[in-house]
Amino acid sequence: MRVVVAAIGLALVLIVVTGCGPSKTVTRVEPDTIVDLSGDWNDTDSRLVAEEMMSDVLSHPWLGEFKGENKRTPDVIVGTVKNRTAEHIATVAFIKNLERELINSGRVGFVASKEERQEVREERGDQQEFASDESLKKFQQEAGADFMLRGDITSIIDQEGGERVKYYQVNLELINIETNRKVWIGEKRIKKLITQSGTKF
Amino acid sequence: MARTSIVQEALWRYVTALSFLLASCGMSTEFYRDVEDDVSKGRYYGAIDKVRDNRPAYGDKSTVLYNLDMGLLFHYAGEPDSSIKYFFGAEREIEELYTKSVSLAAISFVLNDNLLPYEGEDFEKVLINVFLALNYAEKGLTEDALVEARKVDLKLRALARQYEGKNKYKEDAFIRYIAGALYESDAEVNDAFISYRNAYEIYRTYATEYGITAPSFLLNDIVRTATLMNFDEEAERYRSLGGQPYDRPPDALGSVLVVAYAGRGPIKDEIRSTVTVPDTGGVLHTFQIALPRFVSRASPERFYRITAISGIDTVESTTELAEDITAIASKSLKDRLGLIYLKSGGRALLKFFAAEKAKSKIKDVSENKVGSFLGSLAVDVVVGATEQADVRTWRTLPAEIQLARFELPPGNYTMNVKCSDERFSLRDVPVEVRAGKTSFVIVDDVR
Repeated sequence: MRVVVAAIGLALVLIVVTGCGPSKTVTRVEPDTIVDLSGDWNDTDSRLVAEEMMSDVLSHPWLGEFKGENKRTPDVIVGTVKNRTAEHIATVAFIKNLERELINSGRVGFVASKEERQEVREERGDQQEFASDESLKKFQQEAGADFMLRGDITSIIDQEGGERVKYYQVNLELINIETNRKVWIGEKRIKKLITQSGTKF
Repeated sequence: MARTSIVQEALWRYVTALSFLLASCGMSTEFYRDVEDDVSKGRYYGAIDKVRDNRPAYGDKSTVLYNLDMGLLFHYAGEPDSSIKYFFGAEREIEELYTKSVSLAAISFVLNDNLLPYEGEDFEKVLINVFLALNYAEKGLTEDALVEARKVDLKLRALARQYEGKNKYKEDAFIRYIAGALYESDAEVNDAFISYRNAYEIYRTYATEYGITAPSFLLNDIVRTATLMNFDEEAERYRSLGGQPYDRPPDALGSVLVVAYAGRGPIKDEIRSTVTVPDTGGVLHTFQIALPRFVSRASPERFYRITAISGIDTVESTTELAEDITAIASKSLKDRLGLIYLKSGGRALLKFFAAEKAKSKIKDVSENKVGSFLGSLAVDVVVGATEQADVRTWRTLPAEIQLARFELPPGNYTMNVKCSDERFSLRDVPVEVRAGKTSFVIVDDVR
């Protein structure tokens, strides 16, 4: 009997002690460390997809053909990437990743986006009045983009009990702005299995 | 032998002690009277303060409800950002509650369901995303609003699987309609057409389930999007059902969707069934089952006359019923009731056996019959008191959602709203109509 009482006592002490530990800890990790918490679309997905798809787009013949015809590198712009999934995805961050991959490759030129252009134009307008003649930038000298990259992210979710399979598909296409011709279509898929236990103590 | 009886004795004492302690463990709802009074008069910040002050009344078992109430009150107050924050909180918590605590489940099996964390009725879980979608729509974030509409789809599919397709609340016509309007606003005409058509088909089942029909303008929306997509056959089909033929106007129009919340949503109360049976010794035993049920608080039928004014031009329209939350609540609870029956039945039986044990003990030690009878009665009272239906509800919900739709030339308008019972009106609500876009105006009259 005494043994039983002692065991119960010990168990109680354990419960109390484990319940008192710090509930929050912070550990620093490298930004490229893969950390999957919720199973939702995260920074790693955004980065990996951008890297892979942009190295794919640059390896296709349209680039060489354009250079051959025009004797210069093409200028590209990223249009919209629509979120057609069932979760809130920061497509702005994804678009930034795409832009960075393209610019840093050094193989294409890059034109500022619609909103950025607006801001730059305001600055240029401002210069007309206030800047010195030597530093003044002229109107109507903007580089027009040759190609536009656009696409969407879709997802399919299948779930049964505590198991969920998330399947993302990122579709991107590169369109020649002058001819409307699609010169490249790429897709990248990500599949995640998320399990949640049905019971706890 | 001796050890088993010690354990039994200890268990019984534990249950009795818990019974006394937890007999009144349901959430206190006193403060809601003042909250609802504020809401009915449109004093949303007062209501928000009261809910916040009464945070302890929700306890740690009803934090989902706290988040739902706060989320909805901020939505009524026209503060989508705060509303989104609380709704996300509720949603995250509900997701975590998928993992059930075995120990709590065991205790709830002995006592009652109020000991379990409240995770929301099925329809309440779906409505979170409906309000989130409207929050995003209000902010003009169409893509995010559509994300919420897709989440509704996922939740409904999960429910259908859970009940093996036997549930009544399988689909939600209102959110499909809102999705249609959002897709159309996003120039995704094909998706808009599909959503409108789905909404119409679901409203046909609503007619048999809840006795409500599709808003009259829905057929026009289907015909319009079908015509724009050159789906001639579909356009003809819905025209023959009553939709107006669509001619593309020379200048693009914009839409205004007026979403009106009318009346107070339902609350739950408890129905108790008492069964009395005599045992072999002739002593009567009573055991009780307590079940929750929804009670309507909807007021007599009311609608809203909306006038859109731009300069000297005025256009009028009247809201139509689009979602009967009171009716959906009852059906949705019925879906779950089978499970509740089973549990209360099992619990009644368990308590009955435990009570029997106690009574036979009383009979053994008590010499006189009156003492024995009183003792038995006391046991019944204790056991009856622990049986308590879980009547927790998202009480700040409206009874109905009504819709009115305007197709107007782009420009700035003001809207006047007048309720058919003449006890509610709004004046000069500003709204900007943009070509090809849908603007949302939210009217809350939750009284």
